[in-house]
Amino acid sequence: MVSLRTRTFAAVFLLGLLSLGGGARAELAIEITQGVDAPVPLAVVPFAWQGRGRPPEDLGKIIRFDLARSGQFAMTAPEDMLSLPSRPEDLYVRDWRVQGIAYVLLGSVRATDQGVEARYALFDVFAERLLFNETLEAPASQLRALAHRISDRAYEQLTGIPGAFSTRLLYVVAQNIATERETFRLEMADADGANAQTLLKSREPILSASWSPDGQTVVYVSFETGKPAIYLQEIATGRREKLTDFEGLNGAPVFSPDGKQLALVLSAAGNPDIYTLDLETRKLRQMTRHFAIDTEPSWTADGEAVLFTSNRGGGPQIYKMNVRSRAIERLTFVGDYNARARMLADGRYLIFVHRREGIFHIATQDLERGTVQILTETSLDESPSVAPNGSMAIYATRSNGRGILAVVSIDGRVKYRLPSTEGDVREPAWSPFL
Amino acid sequence: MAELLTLVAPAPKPQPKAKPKPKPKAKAKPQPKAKAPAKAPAPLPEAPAPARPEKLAPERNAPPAEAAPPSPSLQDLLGTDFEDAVAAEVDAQASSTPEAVGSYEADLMARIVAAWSRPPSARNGMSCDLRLTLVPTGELVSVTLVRSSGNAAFDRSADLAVRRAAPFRVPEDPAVFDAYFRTVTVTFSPNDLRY
Amino acid sequence: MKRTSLRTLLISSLAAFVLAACQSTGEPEVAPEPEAQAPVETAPAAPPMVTPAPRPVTNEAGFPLDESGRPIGYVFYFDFDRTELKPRARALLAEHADYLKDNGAVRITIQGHADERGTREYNLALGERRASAVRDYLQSMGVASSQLRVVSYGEERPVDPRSAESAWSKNRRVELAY
Repeated sequence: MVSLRTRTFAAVFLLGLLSLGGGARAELAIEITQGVDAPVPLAVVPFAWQGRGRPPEDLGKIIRFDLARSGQFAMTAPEDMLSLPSRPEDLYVRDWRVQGIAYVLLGSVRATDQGVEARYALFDVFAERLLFNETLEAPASQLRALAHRISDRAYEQLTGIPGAFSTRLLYVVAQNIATERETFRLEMADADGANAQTLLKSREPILSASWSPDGQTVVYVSFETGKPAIYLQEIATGRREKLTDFEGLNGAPVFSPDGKQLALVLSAAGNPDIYTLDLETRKLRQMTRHFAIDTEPSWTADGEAVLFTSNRGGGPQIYKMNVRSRAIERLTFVGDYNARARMLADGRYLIFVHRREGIFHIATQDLERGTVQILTETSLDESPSVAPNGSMAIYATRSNGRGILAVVSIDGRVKYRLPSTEGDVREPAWSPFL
Repeated sequence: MAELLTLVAPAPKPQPKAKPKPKPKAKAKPQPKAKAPAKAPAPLPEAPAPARPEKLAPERNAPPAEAAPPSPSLQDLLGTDFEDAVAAEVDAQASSTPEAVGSYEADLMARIVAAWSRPPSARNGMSCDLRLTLVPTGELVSVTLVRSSGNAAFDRSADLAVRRAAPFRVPEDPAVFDAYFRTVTVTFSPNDLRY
Repeated sequence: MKRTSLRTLLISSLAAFVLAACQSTGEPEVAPEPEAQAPVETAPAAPPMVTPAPRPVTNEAGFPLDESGRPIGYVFYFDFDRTELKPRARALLAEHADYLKDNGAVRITIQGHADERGTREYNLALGERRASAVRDYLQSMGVASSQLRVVSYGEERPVDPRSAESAWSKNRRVELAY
């Protein structure tokens, strides 16, 4: 088992004696420095429906699926529950404790004049303590969104990290590849894959979609005119604008953290280099100037540096450029193919595509120690995009000859796939908090 | 041909931003404190404890029993002054008593370690202290957070760990139990996390 | 949208000849498709790989030519993560150079491609490097730069979508689109 760090017993014992001498009882003082970190047993009781007919959505099921995907919880199946309370007053601690269930989330949904109202509570079984007991209202059409909000609340309460269940994903679906009926769609869906909507459909490639920091706008590359151009599109209105269509590459657009500029790639000057585009003044600035390939820019969370991929050292590696001084530093040294990096918000870890023995994985690198950890074991993994709460990354991989999306926790311990029904799904981008 | 490029503006209705965003409003439901709701039964001590295999065979887990002389009673210890206490401590180390207590202590630690699931917000360097109150059966009667880590989820994970780890195997000798296990302070300070 | 001096060579007179049959109205808010990468359904002759070459003839160097005297090989393959032209490609490109010099009004698009391995944007750059290598070689043979246009599709347009070396080696390519 785990090795215990036991304090020198003599010292503990002596302290005990000393306090005894003072008339107090002896007391053990122990220190726990390790844990096992098994998923915490959690039960999400099916939500009661107080309305006519059947509920349009099964809230409890949506929440259960959300929280199960996080990998932090061992979920109890409804059929294993000894009782199905929908109010905290009706919860018998014994029913849950006997199964070792640590937390119970329960609630009900009621149809109101305005829409629906959910009442929900989270109960700590072992401490016999109500952690929250709240209500939330939404239009009837927003039941799924309501469920995700409840998942967010429970997740944050139990993990100390905001939930990212109410966020969305962008991705590209290609169909009939290498045939005359080839199509490309830019799609947006909820973080659980539901409610997919098409933002753009074309017979020419679409790629490199990413979000504005406010989640209202997307930028992407479309070949719809027969050559690559960068477009900006407002999600709600569909209004869009072509930002660049220079000769050569127009690629990899990403918003700066303040939303005021894009970093992107142009090769009009002869080589793929990193540029910034000020969205207000429409001024372009060339940030790198090198005969090698410089591409795949991304910003650090503070907006002070841009990471990019360059093969200036031979194979592709990841570099970091200070936006003001333009000083460039190479970040990756392990392996001969490291590309498309994103910096985690803590500034300490990179997540990127890493090739080892011919296989492409998603990996992280600890920038303090230089250690590389491979997170995914499949073979053509690419395009990692980190959830806004920093807990998980979504990426593209292949399964049975088809592109699919999968999610891995940043520590590599939790993995799941997003269901996809058709086509080749690729290039996911996780939205900011919405 | 006409759908060479289909620009789809999503239907305005399902746009979350266009709607009043459902936001948690603490509507008429102030958070009940610390107490279980009215109908929740069973104050803690009476709650039927889950199976307690250790209690059934405490000796099996005890250290090599070759010497196992009686532990120093509380009275014994109370009668000594400091120097005697030090001497007693040295003697005790030489005898099996500390080892016996140590084995119960190690057992308690191992049970807590096995029950501790740190939340993803936990970081090396966080630290909180819990004071546990035990009864001679080894059951836990109270847990008090005496020093918070500043992260409520971390503190709760520690609280859950000790409650799930209970009941504990404790010395049968009431004096030894009173001396060492009636109250136990547990510091949770992880050093094995990724960061 | 931006327009600067960097932006050149857009409206190609080629539209007339390749897309004569293309009623290019599919795109409401953008000017009519000027280039050869028109929607497949409206541009039957677009993919050069499937262009039929009736009654091939052979020139003195042994390269097959179509009835207009244009070389028939349009595809040039590359090694993984490499952009160098192979000797066979150089020889065939020399034939294209001759044709293009003799037909100064003809413009071509040099399409660069990569296999699916590696990241998409890096592969776009790689595809452009390959296409540029072809362009530079044609220019070195005397073809006017105004006749040549480069577009990289990276890994977005494989000829064989399977994940195997047999497919990858076919996808790492440059195609000439007349």
